[in-house]
Order: sequence, then structure tokens, then C-alpha cells
Amino acid sequence: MLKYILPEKIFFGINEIEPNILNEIRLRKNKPVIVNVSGKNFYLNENGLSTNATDALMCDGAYITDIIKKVSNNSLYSINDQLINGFINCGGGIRIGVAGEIVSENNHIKTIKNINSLNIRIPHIVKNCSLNYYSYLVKNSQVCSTLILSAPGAGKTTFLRDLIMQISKRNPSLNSLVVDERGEISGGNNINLGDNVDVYLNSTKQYAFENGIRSLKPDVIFTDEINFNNDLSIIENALTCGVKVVATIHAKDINDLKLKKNFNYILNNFLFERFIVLNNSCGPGTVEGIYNQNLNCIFC
Amino acid sequence: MKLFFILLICGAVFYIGYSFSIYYKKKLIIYCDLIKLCEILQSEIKFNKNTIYQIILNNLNCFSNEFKQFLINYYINNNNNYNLIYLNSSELKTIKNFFDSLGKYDVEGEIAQIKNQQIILALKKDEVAIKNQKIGQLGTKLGVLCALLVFIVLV
Repeated sequence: MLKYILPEKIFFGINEIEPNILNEIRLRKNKPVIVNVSGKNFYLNENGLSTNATDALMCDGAYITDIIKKVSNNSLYSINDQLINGFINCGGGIRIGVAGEIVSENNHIKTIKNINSLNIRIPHIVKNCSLNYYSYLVKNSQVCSTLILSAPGAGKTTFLRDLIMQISKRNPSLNSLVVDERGEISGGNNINLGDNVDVYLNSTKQYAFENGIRSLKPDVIFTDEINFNNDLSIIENALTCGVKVVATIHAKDINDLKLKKNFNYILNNFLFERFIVLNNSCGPGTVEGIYNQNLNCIFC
Repeated sequence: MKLFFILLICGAVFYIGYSFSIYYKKKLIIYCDLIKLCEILQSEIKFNKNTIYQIILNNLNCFSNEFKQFLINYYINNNNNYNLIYLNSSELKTIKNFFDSLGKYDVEGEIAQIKNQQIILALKKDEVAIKNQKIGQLGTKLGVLCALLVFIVLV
């Protein structure tokens, strides 16, 4: 996919980097290309990584336009809904974050024009990264409602994806529903998550939770990047329908989580039974700790 | 032997007239295909927001062989130099402009743009239809008449 979307010059540089450790490619108009490798930022030159900005490849404005054209297959309307939300899902789980000039009408965002920054995020499948913690999350063939938290880029989605695969493999009697708003978990339906997994792709949580529970009868719903302000009621509704929810959220640690609005409500009502804190210390998806519903550490 | 050559010449004369008529007929079919493509694009973009590439690929069999080949070479294989022999250079430019104008807007803008292009193409199609009726059909008739005339003169 990267070969298809990236300009030749940049792709040659990227090709010199080990794919397993490449996390992000940042393209900013008329600025040097920056790549994130194993959690650290480097400049990109024709031979791969560099710490020197002077020999780094520069991102021409035309590169950005060209990438948008290729990703949309010359059909901007087909990605405009995603563009409005600030990202483009370009298949294979690759997500491109977009910044530019917002075009709005009557307080309604119509599109983003003059795009000047792209953040291409490369997904990784780390097989069995959740396996060591499986017994903490699945008890007597029942999945515990779990919240996976970490700072951005610390492997929440990677962990979640592997957990879905493990549950599907080890508990085939459980029906799973994946609510994949940005196509990251299922890689735009290109990643095989298991035989008993249904995927709502590019759907809002509201729609997928309501309709999924009604029509697909899932035992557990997996979703990415929840927001306590907007998603709390739909998650609570799912939990009170007898459906378990495994979700991810941006928070560096439990203390960060405690600062979030509505967290006390979650805690007091025991909405989640497990809290997993991830960090990047030994690569994305490293488990720092697992906490129970009372926030007592059960794995540290 | 003489009769064989006379028949050969008559056949050639008829074929020239027939080719003339086929030229306009095919041209008309290509414009009809273009209008059909506009309609397909509008309905599919409105309904499922598939990319133009996908829409064309899924509907290739709706079009005549010549236009289908053009779509495969020009749009799918991205061969910008591919020509349609039944169109002159200005007509080809109009069609290439049409393809260049696609995919640059949101759904509403895209549909409005295709509708505008459809109006232009419909006018062009009407012109070609009139020419086909006048000159195209005349071509076959003239071919038959000339072939008969040649036959009479030579026999």
C-alpha cells in the first residue's frame, strides 16, 4: 500500500527502514519528512533514517496532493466523510491523519482544503501480545468488560486487535462485534480477526452499538478510542443489555483516567471490570498494569 | 475472372459507403455510452459513494466494445494516449476533459459537475445523431447506388 500511495523518492527512503519498527510517516508541506521508528523521531533521507535535517527529504506540496488523489482513487467524494473527521483510512489498517484549511457552511464542516500535513500511521500485528494477560480478561468463558488505556502510539489498537483474535480463537462460542470507526482494528476488513467476528466498518459507535445489539446479538463488542462525554450512554446501554464491552481510551495511566470527566460515574457503577494500562517501554503494547473494577492492581 | 474483379470493385465501393455510415453510427453509440456513464456515475455516487474507478470497473459490460476498450485503456490502465478512432481530436479532448473533471468535489458537487458535463455531452450527441441520420444513412445508400452504377458500367 505504501508503495502505491507514497511519492517514489519518499518510498525509496522508507524502503530502507525495517517495516516492523516503522510507526509513522509525517509529511508537512515544505518541511523535512519525519518518520517515527520504535517510538523515536528521525528525519528521512534517500538512504533511510537520519538525525540531520540538512540532508532530509523535503515534502513538496504536490506530494501531499498526489497522496490524497491516490488514496481517494481520484474520487474525493468517496473519502470526504472521513476527511471531515480529520483522517483517511486507506486500507490495510493504514490511517492518514490530515490537517489543513477547514471549509464550513452554517457551522457545518464541508471538507478540508489546502491540506498541508499528513500523518501516515502504520499498523502492526504483534501476534500473541495479549496472550499472557488473557486469563485476567476472560473468566469462565466470559469476557470481562475492559478498558485499555495508554498514551497515543503505545499500542492500544495492536493489543485490542490481538485480544479479539485470541478470544475468537479460544472461545469460539462467543460472538464478537467490532465497531471499527476508522478501519484501524480490522485494517479496512483486510485483517482476519477470526471466524466469529462481525465488523462494522466506518460506522459511528452510536449506530453500530444500537443496531449491532439488535441485529447481530453479540456477546462482546470491541471498539477503539472511546470518549466519556459522547460514548458513555451507548456503552452503558450495551452493558445493561448483557453485552460486554472492550474499548480503548487515550490516557497515560490510571491517574490520567481519574481526571477525565464522568470517570467517577464509571467507577461507581462498575461499568468496566478491568483496566489495562499500556506503555511503550518494551515496544508498543507493553502491559504496565492490570486493575480490577475497584482500581486495585491485579497485575503490576 | 472479369466478373470476379467487377464484383470485387463493386464490393469495395459499397464498403466505402458503408464505412462512412458506420463511422457516424459508432460515434453516436460512443456519445450514448458517455451519457449512460454519466447516469451510472450519478446514481452510484449518490447511493454507495464508490470510487469512479470501482464504478467503471463494475459497469464495464454496460457499454459498447469500443467504449469499453477506451475505458479500460484510458481510465483503468491510465494510458493517456489511447484514442478512439471514431472521434476527432476535439471530440476526444472533450471526453478527456470530462474524465479529468471527475472526482474533485464532495458528493453534491460531484453530481452537479457530472450533470453539467452530461448536458454538454447530450448536445454533442444530438449533433451527431442528426449527422448520423443525414450523412450516415446516406453513406450506405450511396455505397449501394455507386456499387450498382459501377456494376452496370463495367458489365
